[in-house]
Amino acid sequence: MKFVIKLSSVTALLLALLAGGALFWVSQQVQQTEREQRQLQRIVSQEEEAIRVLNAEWDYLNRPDRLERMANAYLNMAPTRPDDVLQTVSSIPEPVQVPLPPKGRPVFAHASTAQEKPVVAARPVAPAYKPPPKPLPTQSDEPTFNELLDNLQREGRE
Amino acid sequence: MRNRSPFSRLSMRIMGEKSSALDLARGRIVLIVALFMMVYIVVAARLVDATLIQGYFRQQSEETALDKERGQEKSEKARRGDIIDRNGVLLATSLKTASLYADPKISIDPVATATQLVKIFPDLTYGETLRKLQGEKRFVWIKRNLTPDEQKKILEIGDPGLSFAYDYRRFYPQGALTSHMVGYSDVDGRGLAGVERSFNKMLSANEHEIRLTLDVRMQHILRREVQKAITDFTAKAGAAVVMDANTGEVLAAVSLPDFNPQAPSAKPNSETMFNRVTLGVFEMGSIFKIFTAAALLDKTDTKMSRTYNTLDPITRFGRKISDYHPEKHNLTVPEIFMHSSNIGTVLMAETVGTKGLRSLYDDLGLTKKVEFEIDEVSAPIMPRPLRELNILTSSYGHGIAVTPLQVASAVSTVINGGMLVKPTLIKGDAPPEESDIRVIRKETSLKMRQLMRLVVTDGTGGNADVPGYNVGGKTGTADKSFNGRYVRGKRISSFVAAFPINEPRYVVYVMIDEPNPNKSSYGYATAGWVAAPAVKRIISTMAPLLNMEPVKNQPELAEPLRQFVSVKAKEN
Repeated sequence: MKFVIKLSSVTALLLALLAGGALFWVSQQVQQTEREQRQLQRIVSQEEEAIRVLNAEWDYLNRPDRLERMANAYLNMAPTRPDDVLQTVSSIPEPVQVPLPPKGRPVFAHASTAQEKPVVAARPVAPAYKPPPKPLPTQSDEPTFNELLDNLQREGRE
Repeated sequence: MRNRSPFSRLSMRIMGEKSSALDLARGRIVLIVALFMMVYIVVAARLVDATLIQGYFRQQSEETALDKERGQEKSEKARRGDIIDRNGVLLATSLKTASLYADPKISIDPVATATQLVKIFPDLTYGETLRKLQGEKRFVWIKRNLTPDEQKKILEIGDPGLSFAYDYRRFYPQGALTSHMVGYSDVDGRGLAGVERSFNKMLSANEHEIRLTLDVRMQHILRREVQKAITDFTAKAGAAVVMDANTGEVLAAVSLPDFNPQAPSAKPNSETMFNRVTLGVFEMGSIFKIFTAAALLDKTDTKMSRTYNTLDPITRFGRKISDYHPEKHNLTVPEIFMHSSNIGTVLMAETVGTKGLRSLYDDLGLTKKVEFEIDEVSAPIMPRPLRELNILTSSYGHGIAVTPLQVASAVSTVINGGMLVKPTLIKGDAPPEESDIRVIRKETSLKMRQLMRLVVTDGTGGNADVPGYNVGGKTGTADKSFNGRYVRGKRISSFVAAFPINEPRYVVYVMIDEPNPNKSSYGYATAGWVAAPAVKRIISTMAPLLNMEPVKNQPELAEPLRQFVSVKAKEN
């Protein structure tokens, strides 16, 4: 008896193998994607929580009384008084004409220095480094944000 | 008889002597084949059942069950909703905090771990940490409230004995600033006071935030100035409200002394926990003359020029009523108001009639508990039944004790054109509606604004004027009563102001409890010297922040009344 393989059988077998392979591949992909999704969701919720903490810290640092204390300590400014508000445009004083510095001379060089020591003045002078204001040292009775959180936790647990 | 196979194709015959044996064998083969086929059919059917029928439907039901489970988990661990001010500044929030604990039993190398931990947290001591890590307990706290950075470093140590615990903690970034209105909650996230308590269900049910009408900037200004007045006059306590005169929104409400909601006092009845704005009831003194004058001008057609005989003290129902600073002539209505004459006010009240006065009190909401969004609200205290004498004395502010919140909303109603104002603390999504319940006539409201402006320009409230913002107001100094007797020297000085008085937008009420005179007040501790300057400072810092432009060279609102005024007022 001759052993005959029909074309249809071969096709069916191939298709079955193909379908099986595809199914396996797809299910692996799905699992992989689900893993990634879970990870992303975790990261997102972590980030959200971090944002919440930062928001709270921002509002804690922007308490009006703290801002007021810092403004008093570092800024030469005061709250607006009703007298400070100008009523009309014409009450703004005329701008004072300031002569421009002559060409070739660095803008930041002090005029008198330039006359006495022209060699020094000819070098471009960088603007003096002004250190950024240090955060106001928290008063002894005022907890920092982290200390505050610390206290919260302690109350909860002990 | 031959066995006929059920399979006709296979039914070829083999003839011969062995045919019966072959038949037998074939019969057996057929039987086995049939058996196998049946098993495969069962398997196939079970496969269809498991994958399609049961699999599909069960998966669906499982999904919903899973969702439910998750939902439950979520609601159990739900974060309490935030409370924010009208500009979105956090007043109360819940933060997830991580804390480090150790299970010494599964710790691999306690010595190395302890060394590493001490490196990360310089405040931990090596010995103590090692002792904890080598202990016998299965659970021991190492360090609480880690920053994300610290947490990362701990994870890098990689000791399986170190774990983290997370939970939500209530946090109040503004501290004591909004303590009484926002309230506080306990460790389990139950609101115990203020909005935290009255909206507890809503706050714990979902993560939606509640927006209040408060503005932390206004709140700060108010608190600072009331505190300053309390310190300057060595007073016992103070309370203040800033209210939108048209919508009743409470922009700021302060009750001093206050408390830190992060660590509220253990005793809920202590002085600091008492919300004077809504729970405290006080006899308001001369501030009630606003309502008497409003009743007179609204319910009768009395002219401003009408004079009353205020030369001598009067006696009503056996009680003598006199003035602190008697004037030497008969007073007109504006003079009675600006000099704050008790005699004149009682005579005015008699012109209105006690019934008329009482009905205005009712309309202004001064005789019943005010509707407000927090639970801590007191009903006014007044004699029951309210006799005629009580109403007459209440015309100048004695006999009926109300909350500062009530006074602020009643004064708002009187000066905003006569529409009833209901105080509110919660800011909805829609812009606030202006009331459409008329209490007094528009003309009366204008006259009242003129009178209140006159108090500031010519009368007892001169210390409250802020040029450009046209403040109008009324002083009120009431002796405090203890066990039914009034004690001289122990008083409540209050001032209620509206600005700009030509078209009022805000009402400011300040009350200082038991102020003592100092040098700057020339020995006075009355409202004009205690509360009025505080109101002046409040308005002058607050108004520019509220984007209000100072108006200069505006016709003086009180000018039409000056013709009825002969002498400038003395301090009351």
